[in-house]
Amino acid sequence: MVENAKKKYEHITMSMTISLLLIVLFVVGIFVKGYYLRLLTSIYMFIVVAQAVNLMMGFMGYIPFGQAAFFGVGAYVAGLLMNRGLPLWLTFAAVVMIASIFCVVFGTPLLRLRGAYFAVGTSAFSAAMSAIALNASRLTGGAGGLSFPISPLAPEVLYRIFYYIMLSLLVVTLISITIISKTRIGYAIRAIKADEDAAATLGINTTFYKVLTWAISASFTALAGAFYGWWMTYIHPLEVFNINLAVVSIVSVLLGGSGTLLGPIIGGAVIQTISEVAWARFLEYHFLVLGTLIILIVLFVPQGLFTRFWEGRHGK
Amino acid sequence: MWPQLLTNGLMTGFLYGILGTGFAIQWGIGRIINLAYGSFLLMGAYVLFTLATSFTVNPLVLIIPAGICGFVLGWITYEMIFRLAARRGLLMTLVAGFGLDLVLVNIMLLIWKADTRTIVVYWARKLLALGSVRVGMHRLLIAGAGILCVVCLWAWLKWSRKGKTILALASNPLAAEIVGIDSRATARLAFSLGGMLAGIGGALFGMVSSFSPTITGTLLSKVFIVTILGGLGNVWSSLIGGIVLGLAEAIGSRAIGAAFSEALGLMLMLAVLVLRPRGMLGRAFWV
Repeated sequence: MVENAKKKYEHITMSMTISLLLIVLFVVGIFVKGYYLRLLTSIYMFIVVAQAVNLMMGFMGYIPFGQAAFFGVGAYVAGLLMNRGLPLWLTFAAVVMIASIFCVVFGTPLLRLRGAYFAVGTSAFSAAMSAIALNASRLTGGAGGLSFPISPLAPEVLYRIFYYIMLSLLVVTLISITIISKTRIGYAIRAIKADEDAAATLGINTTFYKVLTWAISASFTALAGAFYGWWMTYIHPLEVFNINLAVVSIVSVLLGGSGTLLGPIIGGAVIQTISEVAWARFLEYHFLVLGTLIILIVLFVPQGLFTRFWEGRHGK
Repeated sequence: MWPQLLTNGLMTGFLYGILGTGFAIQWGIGRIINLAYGSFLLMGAYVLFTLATSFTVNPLVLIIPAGICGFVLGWITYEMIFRLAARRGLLMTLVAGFGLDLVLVNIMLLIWKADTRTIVVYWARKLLALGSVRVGMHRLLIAGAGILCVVCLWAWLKWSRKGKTILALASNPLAAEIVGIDSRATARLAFSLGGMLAGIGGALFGMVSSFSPTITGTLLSKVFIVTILGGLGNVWSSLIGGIVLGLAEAIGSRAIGAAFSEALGLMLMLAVLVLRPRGMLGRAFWV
């Protein structure tokens, strides 16, 4: 009983912290300008991807090295449809649908692989998508990249709108993951993480839940990619299908603490900020800084900073 | 047309096989999936480039210092990074390797700049004609040198005492420790040997193709395809995987266009991974 009460208390404080943070961010959006507005927008986008990775890795125990494939698919589907003048809601519905279809077609075989083989398989999938986008120039524009229709709105207004769009996407992602973790899906995938064979023996349709979870995770990643393309108005295959995105998201989940809601938020914000600072201050050493950071996180904080702090505070 | 195409594919395939052997050893025996392997290869190519531009020696001799550099690089990174990451599981070695790759690419960019480099092999600019098929002399020599290295490694693993301990560790780590093999030192040696092969392979690659620090991803994907196609069974499996990839790319570039041959290789790898996770040879992975 005491355990339960403590868990409930923890849960309430965590939700309160996150809600408060989001309210502050909504207000902050009115005041920030220029560089910081864009930095915050990119951090939100990044946290959405990190949360999607967290759903796979923290909850289900599958590390998606190829998550960038969906980011790129989302960006390209959105770009191609918007250029053909489709209404926005239909475009984003199509992004979610196509990402899910990809998950069903490729996820069903790929999710049979376990551990490192899943990581290897998904990264090959991501690299193949990148190669196809780069070379199918008749459809995607190939190495020339793809431009989005440019909005007639003034840049200041437009960037503020994108700030709120990304923040809303982040809120939707957080709410969805909270809900998912409390439904059948959440219990099923946690069982899969604990012991997949045992879960299957208990009558959980593991393939179904794995593909479903990947489709949810991929949809959020694809939406983040679609909004990113719309925001930047230009995308390039090597940029949106970049495996860096997947690995850096995995590392931020590791840093923050996997399987928690707040962990990827903290980890994502910290890593994206450091990455931005590295770009701005030491352009020549950017990869050096990022790479060293990744190695240090893997070697020294595999449990996640946040988990450690949280558990330390509550004496678990 | 076809005989020439297949010969080219075969030559590329030998090179791919040589590139992949070190990776397979690091994965199979060292139990580390080294995502920094693309940078290891390029390091070898750049060492050869620096030496070949400063000394007028036959570049084929210079693969020896490139191999030594690769060995040292493997040794250092194993002790400092991979051994510690491996304690947290195979997956963590993937992430750590990716971080190391970024660091090494950055170092190469700082030392050798982003320019595309080539090593001109003027000493072997000759075409051999066998009927209608023409093969560059340097490609034959490079494939021969690479295969010689792989054969030496195979013989050393098979007959020397040290080599036998490495194979013992690969086939059963627990039993190897019970009979008194120092697993840490042996795994480190195997990993460093993989690094040495990367140095040699990269140097050979540098003589065939132009390179710049940003191609590590492409190299890594080739190496991955070769390893998955061939399996981790033994020293020869990478060579077979490489030949399959080289021929598939040659045929694919004729049939569906050169643009999609990279995607073709990756799709082939995915198919093998899903349908025959043990590689095409059907042997068990060393893992």
